[in-house]
Order: sequence, then structure tokens, then C-alpha cells
Amino acid sequence: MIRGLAAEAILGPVVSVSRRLGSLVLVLWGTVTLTFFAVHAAPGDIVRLLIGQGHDTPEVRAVIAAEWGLDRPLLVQYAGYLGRLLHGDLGTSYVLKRPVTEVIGAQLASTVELAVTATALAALLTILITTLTAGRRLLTRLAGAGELLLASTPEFWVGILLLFVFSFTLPWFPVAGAGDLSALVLPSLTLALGAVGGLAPVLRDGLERALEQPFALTVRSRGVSDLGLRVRHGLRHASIPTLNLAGFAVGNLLGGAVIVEQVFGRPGIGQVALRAISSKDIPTILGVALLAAFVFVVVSTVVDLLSLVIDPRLVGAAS
Amino acid sequence: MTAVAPDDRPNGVGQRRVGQLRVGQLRVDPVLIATAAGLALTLLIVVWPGATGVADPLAADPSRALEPPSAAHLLGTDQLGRDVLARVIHGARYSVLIALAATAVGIVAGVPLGLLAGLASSWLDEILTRFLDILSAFPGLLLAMVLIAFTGPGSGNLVLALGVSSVPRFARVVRAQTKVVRGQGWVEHGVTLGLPRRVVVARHVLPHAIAAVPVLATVGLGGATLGAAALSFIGLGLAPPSPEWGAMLSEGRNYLRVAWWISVFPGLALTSLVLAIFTLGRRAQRRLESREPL
Amino acid sequence: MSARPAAPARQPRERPGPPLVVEDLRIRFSDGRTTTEIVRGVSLTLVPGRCVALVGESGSGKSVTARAIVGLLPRSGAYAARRLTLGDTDLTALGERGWRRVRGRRVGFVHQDALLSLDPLRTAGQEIAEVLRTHRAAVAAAGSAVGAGSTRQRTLQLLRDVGIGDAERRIGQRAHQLSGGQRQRVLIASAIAAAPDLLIADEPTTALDVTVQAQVLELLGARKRRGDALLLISHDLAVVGQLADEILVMRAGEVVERGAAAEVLTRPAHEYTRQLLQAVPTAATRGHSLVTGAPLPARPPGDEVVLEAHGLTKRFRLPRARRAGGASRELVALDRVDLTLRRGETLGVVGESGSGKTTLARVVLGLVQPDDGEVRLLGRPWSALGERSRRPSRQHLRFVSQDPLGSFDPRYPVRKVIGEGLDSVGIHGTARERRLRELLDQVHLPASYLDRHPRTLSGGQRQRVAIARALAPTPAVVVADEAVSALDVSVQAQILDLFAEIQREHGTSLLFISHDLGVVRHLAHRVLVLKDGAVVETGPTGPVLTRPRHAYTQQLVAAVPRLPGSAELRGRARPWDEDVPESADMTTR
Repeated sequence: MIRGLAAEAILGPVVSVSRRLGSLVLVLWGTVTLTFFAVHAAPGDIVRLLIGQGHDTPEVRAVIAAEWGLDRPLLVQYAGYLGRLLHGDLGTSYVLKRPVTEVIGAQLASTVELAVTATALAALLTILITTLTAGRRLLTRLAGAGELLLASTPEFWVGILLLFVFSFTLPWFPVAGAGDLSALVLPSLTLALGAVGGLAPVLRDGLERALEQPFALTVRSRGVSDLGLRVRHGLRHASIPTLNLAGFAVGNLLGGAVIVEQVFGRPGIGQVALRAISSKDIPTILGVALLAAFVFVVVSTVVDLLSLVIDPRLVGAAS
Repeated sequence: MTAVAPDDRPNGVGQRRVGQLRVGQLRVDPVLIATAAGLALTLLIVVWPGATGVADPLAADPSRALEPPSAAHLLGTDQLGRDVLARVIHGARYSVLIALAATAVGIVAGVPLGLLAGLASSWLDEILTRFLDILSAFPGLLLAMVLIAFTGPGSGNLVLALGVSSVPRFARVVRAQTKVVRGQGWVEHGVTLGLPRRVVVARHVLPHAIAAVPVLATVGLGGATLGAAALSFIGLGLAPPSPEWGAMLSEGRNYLRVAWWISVFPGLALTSLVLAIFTLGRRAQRRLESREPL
Repeated sequence: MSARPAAPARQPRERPGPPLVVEDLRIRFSDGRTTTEIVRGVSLTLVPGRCVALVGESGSGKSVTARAIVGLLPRSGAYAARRLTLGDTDLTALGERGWRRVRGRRVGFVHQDALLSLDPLRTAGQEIAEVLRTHRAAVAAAGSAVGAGSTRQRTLQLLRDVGIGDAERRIGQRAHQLSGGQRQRVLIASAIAAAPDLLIADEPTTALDVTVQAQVLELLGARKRRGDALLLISHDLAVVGQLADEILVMRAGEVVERGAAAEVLTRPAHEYTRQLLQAVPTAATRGHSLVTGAPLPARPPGDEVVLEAHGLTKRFRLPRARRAGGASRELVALDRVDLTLRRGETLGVVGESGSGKTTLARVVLGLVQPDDGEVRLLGRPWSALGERSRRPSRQHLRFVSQDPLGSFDPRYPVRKVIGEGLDSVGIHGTARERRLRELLDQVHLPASYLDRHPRTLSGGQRQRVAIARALAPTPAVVVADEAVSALDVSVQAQILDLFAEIQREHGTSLLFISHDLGVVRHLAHRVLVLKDGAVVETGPTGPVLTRPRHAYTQQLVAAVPRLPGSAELRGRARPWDEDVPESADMTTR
């Protein structure tokens, strides 16, 4: 049996990855389908939207509808959309009249930059705060109150406050725009602070649980320092539940990006989504939704694999 | 042998826990009292905003625009000369009612879904779990945005959008809890006692599976309050004239340099309300955990 | 998989280690309002090459005493001592930094239950290397004591020293991949890695199978012979008897008796020690109360077969990933098991962990369907029925598990817990209330306990409630799965007495599953020895467990640590002898 266990350490993740890929495709398909029908079932005259400033006559309508394939039955449109999707074609924006991949692609870098910075910042702050405060009654109480305050403060309000203090009162950072590094600081800090408010209590709770485990006593009776115990043993145990939550948080960054990009006037996917939503630009909305689902699935796959690396005991339990 | 068993040492841990609980119930908790008082006050101004005697939140007076806080306007006036205090007080109604309704939607749909998935056979559980996966593949806010984009802004749609996006969270927690409870020793013992399955489920699974729902609901309430404000902030919630806190912040931030009070006070109100709700939720959770170590 | 016997001491230590002196140790715990002194006036001296044992039941303060010696009390605890020295070092004067140089380097600590006491996420090698790295400078200065070479080489050497075969492979494995004995050896290896002079072992063999326990005790004995001072903490007098030179018996924070090991175990001076020794179930205690030592009236089992099983087989499919690498696809948990249980009889099922004991209980209880074979209850089909048709007969077969608290709905007070046992029988109104009081009386709990909550009861009282619930419909058969394993020996004695009494008065048949041969010898009429899901030997308890025929049973019996014969006890309170043939009821087989 022990021999079998050794093999499973290698084969386990492979099995898990193939299962994951299956559910990845399933979730993506489900998301597209759900959004497609929800969007098309909603009231709203798409043809009128496409005509824009032009004359709205039955003849023009027929031409436009035929041109965009809107005269065909919904199921045919759906099949066509899925087919094009397989070739990486997300359709053409009704409003900008450009391919959706192009519209999204042009803004992707800015949002990715924001999300990655925010994630790194959040991870750093969370680990630092919890490692120093876990299990220490007064510090925990203090930090806990701060985290609760952060969790209770909406991102747009944090953003406005940061702008007020660090751009208007103290002119340290630019008010709006993207480009250099200094323009990235406040937006990513805004996103990160919100995440810290949610993640830190979970990581601290996990760390405190780990420090109460019998093995913590063993480690300390070896002469290892308290910090050594926290960093080498505790954080690893605490990180599994936190990672799962962090997965959701990273997935949610796209939602947060909408707000933050709006507050700080940054270009990015959030602005694209907002414009598309307010102008009912269906292909773009579908594209953003698909991107969000894709990010979610990829992130949760990464989280699952990371969990397996951190806790090899999960390998056998996965199936 | 009719003697009563000697009282072998009562379990120290259990004893201590019970003692603490009793102490906890008697002790006066200032934070909890402040929180409860704040929430009671909020409920009062939700039900009857006029009771505070403030001005009409929509009455504009361009001649008195952008006035800083003073005796006449305790929190100042906005760009149209409307009283910020009146708007903040009347705004509570939107936040609280929308959040309550959205949480109700989430619970009504999410809890039964979670129970079903937790109790069902593995294939039904698999289908329901995949469905929840798909639903949560959208970031909560984005899902609400997309829904609102096609149903149009308005409080009813706002409630529906926020409610639907909170369904996976309720369902997941209840499902996981149900599975944990199903594996407990007392459930198996119920079977060996010859209890029918429905009795075992009703008596020994359900009460424990839904024990965490009040806590979840409280946390969800805070989240929905934030979500509603965020949607209004980006213009997908309630339209500007209505004194919704998120919408007020959105308008006010354009005047941040000249009139900070327009955005700061609704922001403070929003944060205080959510903070009170979360504090209550955290206390409730601690109580639940100390009572029932599952 | 079975590890080699412990390596002999490699070399005697070149210099004698310093003595540990503890004088008047007091430990207080404070919860902010009240302060409780939970250890009072413990004194002991421990010199190299000797073993002092602290023996006591839970709550006696023995483990806390051990933790105080390495300065690792829980935060709410504080200690004071007239003297606490290790050689020239005054331990009471140490700061956190000073303690870190003592822990691991001068005092090695082996905690109980290696599955939890090793970091489950780190490999055996990482766990041991941590000690080597922490005390790198000190270890290097000590030179030959640990051996030269890289950390990895030293780690491998340590693994071999504690008798782990295939050290090259084990070094990269984690606690869950190792067997119970291997884990405990790794834990010991990490404790001795920096060559401490003093080794503290807190319940080092609890939760281990008896054959593995023997190996671990042998390993600790080798350390003692090598010149280490050994402070052993245990609840088990027989285990302590294997190693200790001096024994301190603790109760409620005080040392009630101390003396040379042989002296304490054979001629106990204190009444409490006497009770503890008397409460240990063995073959010699058969037919006697473990609490009073008095003989109990016997009631031979009847002839009617109440429970029988034929060819029970249960296979579990291993998770998909485990099948890889050519390992067997299925785990055979039960392999053609036959059993019969007569009215008023106790059938003991013994076996080590993984032998299929619990699966047998679950199949018999109808919680798991057998793949093959059949269980019959009171001569009628049982396992072949669907749950719905089985339900009316469930009142004849009841279950008592190891963890009573986990088997009670946390919302329920005692009244509802026991009352549920009556639900299927349909007793209502005043008859129900009368029956509830009757049941509590049967398990010797006062009627006022009906409104208590199980959480507020002691372990023994909880198990009494569980037994009362099982007895509610006066079942023909009670399945008890490790029902006394989690209890202190004196409480275990009470519960075993209770089982005997119930059988005597109601003619209840018991399927008594236990890893503890002593318990089974004390209680069971017949015994069934399980290994890898198959019955290797069965028959009357006396012959099977005193003159086992199968090699495995012989190994099992030989590994059980035995108390030295107690002349004084035999002469007075316990007028029976190991050599006396099994009592009369054994002849009906």
C-alpha cells in the first residue's frame, strides 16, 4: 500500500488536472450559454441600436438584421456564436463595429497590470499582518477591528478617500490615468485593501488553529523560535483555506476593477464592460463575461493544484 | 448493586466552556450594545425618516449650493443646495430595504439548493454543484451588472440581481455543512435506533445544517448593502435624484476638492451601517462556534 | 513493513549527562478570574541511565508537569519551583532565548500520537533536519555524538538508529504515509537528533498497536541503556513497568505514592495505587469486579444462537489514484468471517488497527452491506433485508461506540438521547418517563441526570448514557466497538463492571470489539482474532489467549506488557491467581 501511495503522489495531480480540464470546459460552455440566452431574452431593440443615427425604416432594419445575422432563429445564432467561439472569434461589437477580441485585447494589459499588482500587494499585506498578530490577543483585536473596517468600506469609497488624501491633499500620486508606476499605486492599493479585509481574518484563524495543533508543541520543544514555527509550519497549514477564498477574491478582481477603473479614470476591461453594458453591446458583454468565467476557472484550477502541492494528503482524497 | 455510579471526574474542558458561556451571557458587552443601538436607530429612520425632522432631501436651493457644514445645514449642502444630512438620512431606506430584500432572495433560493445538493444522491449533487460553479464563475458584481444591463436600473431589478449573485454562497455553505452533519456519529446512531430516514434527516441533519444560516444572512446583508451602493455608484442602481448613498458619492466625488462633505458623509454612513452589520455577524458566529463544536 | 528491532546502542556516551532536579514544582492555571493550582509539590531527581515514570489518569497533572520542565506551559499557565535545574542550569531563570538552547538540544521531547505531533505537511527528513539546523552550532561542537556528514547523511543515520529500514525512502515521506510505529520512531529520531541528555516521553505508545508498542518501548529502553535519562509519562501501569526504575503515582496534581518501580507495582502503599492496579483487567480478574475486587455471581450463557454470520466478505475499492503503481485495486476489509453469538454470551473480537474490526461491527449493524455472506439475527435474515424491513427488528440489536458524545445529537439533553432509543418501540406518556428513570437506574445514574446535557457529563457518565440508550428496548444483542478504549482505567473498570452486570441481569449478548487483550480476557467468553479481515483463531477466551495456536495470536499475546505478579494484592483483596484455570463458565463453549 505504501508503494501505491508513492505512485499516487505523481499520478494524483494528473488525474486531478484532467478532471479539472473537463469541468473547465463545462463551466465555460455553461457561462456562454446562460449569458447568451439571458442577454437575448432581455427586452431591448438591438436593430435600433445598430442603426444608430441612421433612418429607422423597415427596409433599413431588414438589411441591418440580415447583415448581423439577427433575422435567423435564436438557436441558429447560438450555434453560430459557439462555432465562431471555437475559432477564437468573439464576434463584432455592435457599437464600435470592431472585433470584440480587439476591443478587449486593447484594454487587457492595463487591467492585468492592476490585478496582478493588487494580488501581490494583498498577499504580502495579509501574510505580514497575520504572521505578526496571530495568537497575540491585543494585536489580534486591533488588527481584527482594522480588517472589519476595511471589509465594511466599499472599494469606491476607499478609492475616493485615498485620492482625497494622497492626490488632492498631499500631491504624491496622479489623480487619474495610467502609464507610469505611480499611477498604479492607489488603484491597486484600493483593490488590495478590500481583499485584505476579507482574507486576513481567515488566514489568522487558520494560523491560530495550526499553532494549537499538537505538532506546534513538538516544534517548540525542539528549540525552534516562535517566528520559525509560524513561518515554516503555521503558514503552510493556514494557507489552504485561505487559498480557496483568495481564488474567489482574484476572480472578483474583475468586478472590483470596474469600480476602481471608474474611480481613478483608468482605461481597462472594467471601462469596456461598463460602456458595453450601458449601450447593450451584446457581443462585447458576452466577451467580457466569457473572460471573467475563464479567469475564474483558471484561477480555481491553479488554486487546486497549489493546494495539492502544499498539502500532499489531498492527493488521495481528491477523487 | 443499586449504588449510584461514583462521579468520575467531569470533563474539564466541557465544564469550562459551559461556565464561560454563562459568564458571557451575563457580562455587558459595550460593543454589542453600541451596535444594536445603532442598528435600531437605523431601522427607525428607515421606517420613519420624517421622525428626525430633517428637511426634504430633494428640495434644491441653488443659491445655497456647496455650503460647508453649519448650524443651518449640519452636514452642509450639495451642488444643488440640497441638505446633505437630509439626504443621508433618507438614503438609509434604500440601502437597508434593498439589502434585506436581496438577502431574502439569496436565502430563499440558496438554502434549499444547498440542502438538496447536500442530501441528494451523488449525480444530482454533481449537477447542482456544476450549476453553482457556472453561477459563481461571474464575479458577483459583474453578474449583477449584466443582469441590470438588460432589465434596466430600478430597485426591483437591483434586488433580483444582487439576490441571484448571492445564491451560490448560501448554497455552497449549506451544502458543505449538510455533508459534514451527515457524517456525524449521531446520524448513524439514529439509523441503528431504527428511526426512518426522513426522521433522521428532519431531527438530526436539518437543524444542524441550517444553524449557520442566520450568521450567513447577516454577512450577506452587509455584502448586499455594499453591492447595491457599488451598482448605484457606477450608475446601474438607482437614478441620481434619489438620495442613495452610492449615487451621492458618485456625484460628490466631482466636488471633492471644493466640498468634501458631499461625499464623506454618505460614505461614513455606509461604512458605519455595514460595520455594524458585520460586527453583529461576527458575534453571532462566535456564539455559534462556542456552542456547537462540529 | 514491520520495522527492524531497535538498533543496539552504538556507543556508550563518553561523559555522564547532568541530572535533572525538580523540587516542589507548582503549576497554576488562570482564566482571568480564578486561579487553580493543578500541580502541587512535585519533586523528582533524574540521573543519566535511569527512568522515572509519572503515572496517573487524565487530569492528574502528569503531562503539564512534563511541559513545565521544558518551559512550554499553555499561556494561561504559570509555574513556580523551589528548584528546577538541569546540571548547572537553573531552568527557572531562563528567558525565551535560553529555553531555546535547552529544548531539543539538552532535553528531547517525544509527544503522544506521532500522527498529530509530527507536522503532517513536512517529510520525516525535514522534521529531523529542523532539529539539526536549529542546534547546528551546538551539534557541531558536540562532534562525534551525532556523527559527521551533511544534514541529509545525519538524518539518514538517525532514521537507521531508531530502527527504520529503508531510510532512503522514508526520509521523503510524511506522517500519513508511514505506519504507526514508523511515525513514532521518526518522532523519537527528531527528539534525539541533537543528542540531548534527557528524553521526556509523554504517552509514547498510546494509540499504537500492541506489537508496535513493544518495539517502541524497546527503542526507548535502548536509549536508557545508552545513558540517556528518561522521564516517562503514561496512564498505563504495565507500560511503565517495562521501563521505569522509579514510579511517581499522581492524582489530582499531587504525587500520592513514589518508590522503586517493582515496589510500587507489587506492594502499593497508597490506596489509590492499589485501586489503579486492581482496575486493570486481565485474565486473573475474570468473574470479579474491577472496582471492588469481589467475585461476581456467574451466569453461564444459554444455547440459543442470537446472532450468526457466515462467510462475511467486504471489499472496499481504493480511490482511483491509489490504484496506480500496480497496488491492489481493492482492500479486503472482511474475508469470509463466520461468527456465532449465544444468548447471554460475550464474544470478544480482537485485532490490531486495520484488521477489519470496525467493518465487522458496521456490517453486523446493517450500516454496510456485505459483498458476500449473510448475517442472521434471532434466527431470521438480517443483512439480506432492505433497511425498511430491517427497521422493526432493530430494537433487538443496539450499538455502543467509542465516542459517546459524538453519538449524541448536540442539541439533545439526556432525556431525549435515551428517549430516542424508545421511539421505535412506541412507549409514551408516563410509561415512558418511568422507563427512562429505570434505564438511568440500570446504569447507576441519578434520575436528575435526565435534564443534564451530555456535554456537562464526564466521559464515564456519557458512556453510561450511551449504554442506557442502547438498553432502552431490552435488546438481545449489543455491539460495543471499543466502548471502553477512551476511558481512564478506573472509569473503564466501572463500565466493564456495568457491562458484566447488565449481561447477568438481562441475559444480553455482547459483541465486544477491542484492541485491548486484557479487556477481552476479563470480559469475553469466547474470542475471535482478526487479522487483515480474516479470522485467524477463535474459541474460548482462556485457551486461545493463554495457549494460542496461530503464530499471529502468539505474537499478539507475547507483546502485551504485563504487570509483575502482585503477592500482596493476591493475598488480600484479590484472592485469585493467574495460574488458576479459567472460571467455570468457560467450560460451556
